[in-house]
Amino acid sequence: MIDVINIKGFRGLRDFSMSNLGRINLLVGTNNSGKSSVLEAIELMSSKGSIRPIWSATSRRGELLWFDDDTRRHSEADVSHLFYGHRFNVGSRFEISDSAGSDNNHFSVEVVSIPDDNRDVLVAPQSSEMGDSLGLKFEWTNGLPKQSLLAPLTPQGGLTSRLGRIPIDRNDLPPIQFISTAALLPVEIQSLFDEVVLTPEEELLLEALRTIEPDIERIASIGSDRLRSASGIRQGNIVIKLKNQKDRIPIGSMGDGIWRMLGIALALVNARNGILLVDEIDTGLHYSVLSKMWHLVQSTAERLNVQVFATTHSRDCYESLASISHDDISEGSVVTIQRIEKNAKQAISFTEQEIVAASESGIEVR
Amino acid sequence: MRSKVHPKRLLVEGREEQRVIPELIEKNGIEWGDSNDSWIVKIDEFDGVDKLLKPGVIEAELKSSGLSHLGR
Repeated sequence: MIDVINIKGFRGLRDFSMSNLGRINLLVGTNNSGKSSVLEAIELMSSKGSIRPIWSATSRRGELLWFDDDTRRHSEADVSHLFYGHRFNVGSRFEISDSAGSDNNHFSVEVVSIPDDNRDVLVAPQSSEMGDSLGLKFEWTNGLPKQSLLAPLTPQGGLTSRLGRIPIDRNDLPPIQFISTAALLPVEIQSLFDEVVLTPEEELLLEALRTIEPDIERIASIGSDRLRSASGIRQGNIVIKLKNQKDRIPIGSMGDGIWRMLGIALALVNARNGILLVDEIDTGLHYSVLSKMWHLVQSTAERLNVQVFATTHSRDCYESLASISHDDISEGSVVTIQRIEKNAKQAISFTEQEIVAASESGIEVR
Repeated sequence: MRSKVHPKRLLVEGREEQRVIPELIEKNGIEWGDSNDSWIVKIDEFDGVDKLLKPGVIEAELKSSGLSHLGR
């Protein structure tokens, strides 16, 4: 598990660290303090050189450069926003590591001029009228000798989606699931659901959904595009069976809370021995189900060895975290709250004991 | 539940202290203020010394957001 994370030069985080991390970590802070950036940093570091998370992160934020050519409209990831100050030159870099002062797990990206004969280049650099071609040099370690990869940037300074789709074969990558503030797409839910069907974890999905609707008896995928294409609704291919009701019901009929909870549960079981990242975890969930949600997340994360990082703006969300926190922290805190303050170098870390005290006394931790 | 974050807070055992301390401050010539925003310090009572001294309370208070001064 990650117990410390250090981030330098990434997005709005010039020099930032977060320590005393536990299995469940809730990130709080004002708007634009860097909570989502921390989640992205964890995903990038843990992905070790895969370009896919960079493409995903910039796409989620709409940081794309659009171009029209003769045949079609296409986009590139505008990577300038990944660098502190929203701009880069040769030598600009960001780095992320997960331990204090050692190279235990270290990831960096630096803007470099690409030499013509570099063999590690994923795709041959395009010629640029502006001068030398630029590229991003990825370097990472994981208790192993340093590894590196060079990805060329386009003349506009973007990263093409073609690079994001290149599969990088590294079996040592932990599974990482990232749920953004937007709901998971049907195709994502379907893909995650397929991994769970007829496994012991399927029961967990029902347990999760029953925190919101106790009458749910079964969940299934009808595996057909008919409903999706006919109705146009996003959740058309997942159906549920309610107690005392004869017909199956599209899960979309049950409201956004059910969809959100399904997404969290699916992502959790698909992150076994890895990391779950959830931006604004309480989105769509009524305050009355938050304690149950935390119990479910904690017990599953313990059982499947998943480390969870989530963000929130909600008092209900962090106060309900006290329901899985303990007064006795002699063996360390399994649950933490980390407050991120804009331009601060260190997150303020709350132990379980302090989370309980804050909840009982109405102390403002955000 | 506390109504509003005040940067200067004083934690006291009970309602008696919460009521008396502003009186003492004013008797000593210091203007107390007439609203939550203008009070020179916000006094939070803990309904007993046990709750005030409970492990984790002072640590969490010291880390609370927007705090500049804390007394107990």
